[in-house]
Amino acid sequence: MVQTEKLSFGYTRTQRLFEKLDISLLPGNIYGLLGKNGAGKTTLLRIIAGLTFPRSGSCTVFGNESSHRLPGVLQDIYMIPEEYSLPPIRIGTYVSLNAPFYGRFDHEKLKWLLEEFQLTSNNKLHQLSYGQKKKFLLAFGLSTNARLLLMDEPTNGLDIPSKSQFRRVIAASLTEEQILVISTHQVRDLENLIDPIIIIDEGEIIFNQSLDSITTHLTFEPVKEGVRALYAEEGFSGYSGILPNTSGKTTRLDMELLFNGVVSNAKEINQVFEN
Amino acid sequence: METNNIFSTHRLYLLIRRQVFSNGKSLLIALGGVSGFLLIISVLVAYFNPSALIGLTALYFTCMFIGGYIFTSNIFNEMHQIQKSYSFLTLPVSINERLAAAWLLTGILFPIVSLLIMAAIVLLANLIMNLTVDMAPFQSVFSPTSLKLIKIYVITQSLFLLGAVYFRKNNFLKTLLALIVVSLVLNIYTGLVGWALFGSLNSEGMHIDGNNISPAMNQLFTDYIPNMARFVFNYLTLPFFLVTTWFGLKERQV
Repeated sequence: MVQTEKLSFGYTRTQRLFEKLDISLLPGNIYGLLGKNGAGKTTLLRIIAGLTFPRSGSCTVFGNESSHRLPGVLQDIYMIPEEYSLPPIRIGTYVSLNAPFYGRFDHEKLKWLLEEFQLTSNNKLHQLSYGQKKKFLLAFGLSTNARLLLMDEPTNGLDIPSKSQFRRVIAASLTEEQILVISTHQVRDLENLIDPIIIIDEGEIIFNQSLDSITTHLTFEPVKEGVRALYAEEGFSGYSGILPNTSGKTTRLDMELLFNGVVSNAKEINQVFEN
Repeated sequence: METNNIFSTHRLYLLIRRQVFSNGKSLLIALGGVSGFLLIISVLVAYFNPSALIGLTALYFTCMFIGGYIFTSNIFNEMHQIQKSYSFLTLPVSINERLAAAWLLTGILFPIVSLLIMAAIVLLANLIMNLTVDMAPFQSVFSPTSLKLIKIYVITQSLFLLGAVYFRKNNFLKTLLALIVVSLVLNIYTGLVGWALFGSLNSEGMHIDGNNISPAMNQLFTDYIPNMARFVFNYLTLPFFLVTTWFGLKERQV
């Protein structure tokens, strides 16, 4: 379990990015951490991974302060950052040098994932494209069997087939004891994968709900002009809106619409969940 | 099984192996380049001016000191580059192991390898000398002076280890600059203290020597202070800089 309590953080003493942030992440979930650029998604992932320390409050990962960077805890954390640089060695060499640090590393799983991503142990890491490097890191990260996986914009740089491959692999690889946190601003890429959804804006968590709860409380449907919706935006085929679900029917969740709606009208949308 | 969060020799071995093989190529190129240069110089000297061969030991050790300081300054490079730091800092190893791996590589293994390379170069140069000039005595790098120099290297490289953690870019040059500034400040300070204590004597045309200062003061300057300085250098410098490097590693963030 990952828990932050009254976590405050700022890159300078005067400007606070997070102020008394409380959040709990439980095993068996794929959390979607959504937010605009600069909202604090990457910083939150870094704090959870122990790469950045909170100014006050705490961030515990499986019961230990993440900032202590204990080997026993780090064995259970694997982070795939948005920007990375890999050494100029072959995949096989990288694996033989890094895998032994992870006690539960599954070489069979890695073999399967590399095949799935059309990579081989002989591939030189520095000669791979950005997307291929990302696939390799994903394969390596999933094979560590770490209980906490943190991915920062994992679909950036992936082509369209690779994005669906990414969703398929994630869904097939994760176990009930693992927590996956995916930070992204490309919400459409991860539809049907992430649950619950956490939306972060200006250092605050402004929305944190499961898919089930969202579709129970809200509907996403075309709306006519003049109809009062919690949020509506104009598309090619008219207006789409978010409405309180008063009829009990379930509509397909439009992640982008929800994100835009929450960012512009979080107060009213959150009130629907309180009722 | 419970993970040892403080120190594991297995993880230390894995970390050293990772460090060596991840940067193996550039390490080998640098070591090969310097060794090749020294070998050519030594062979030429052995052939044309055999009597000057003994003087080359100073050049070998100068190369070892400078090379070792540069190697030490770059040992934590992975940690300072934002695109690489995440993999270094989230690697499941303790701070003790990070420090021990860096110190063993740069402070212990490096001088041992350097000494072995020097011995090989000297051996080769001696062989050439014996083939060309009949009289050549065998010279070795394994002497008490060499061991003393190695000890000085092990102690002084700890300063560069701290610089490797503390500075994010151009670590070697910045550490060197910091050392120059600190020694300048210390020299100015001791100069000022000396002037404050004995400046008036000088204006009266007197010179300080063993005849015009008290025996206690004489003992302080000739015995206590040099002994204390030797003690600080031999026994306190290395632990002090290793401890400060440990804290630097502990506090390092992305």
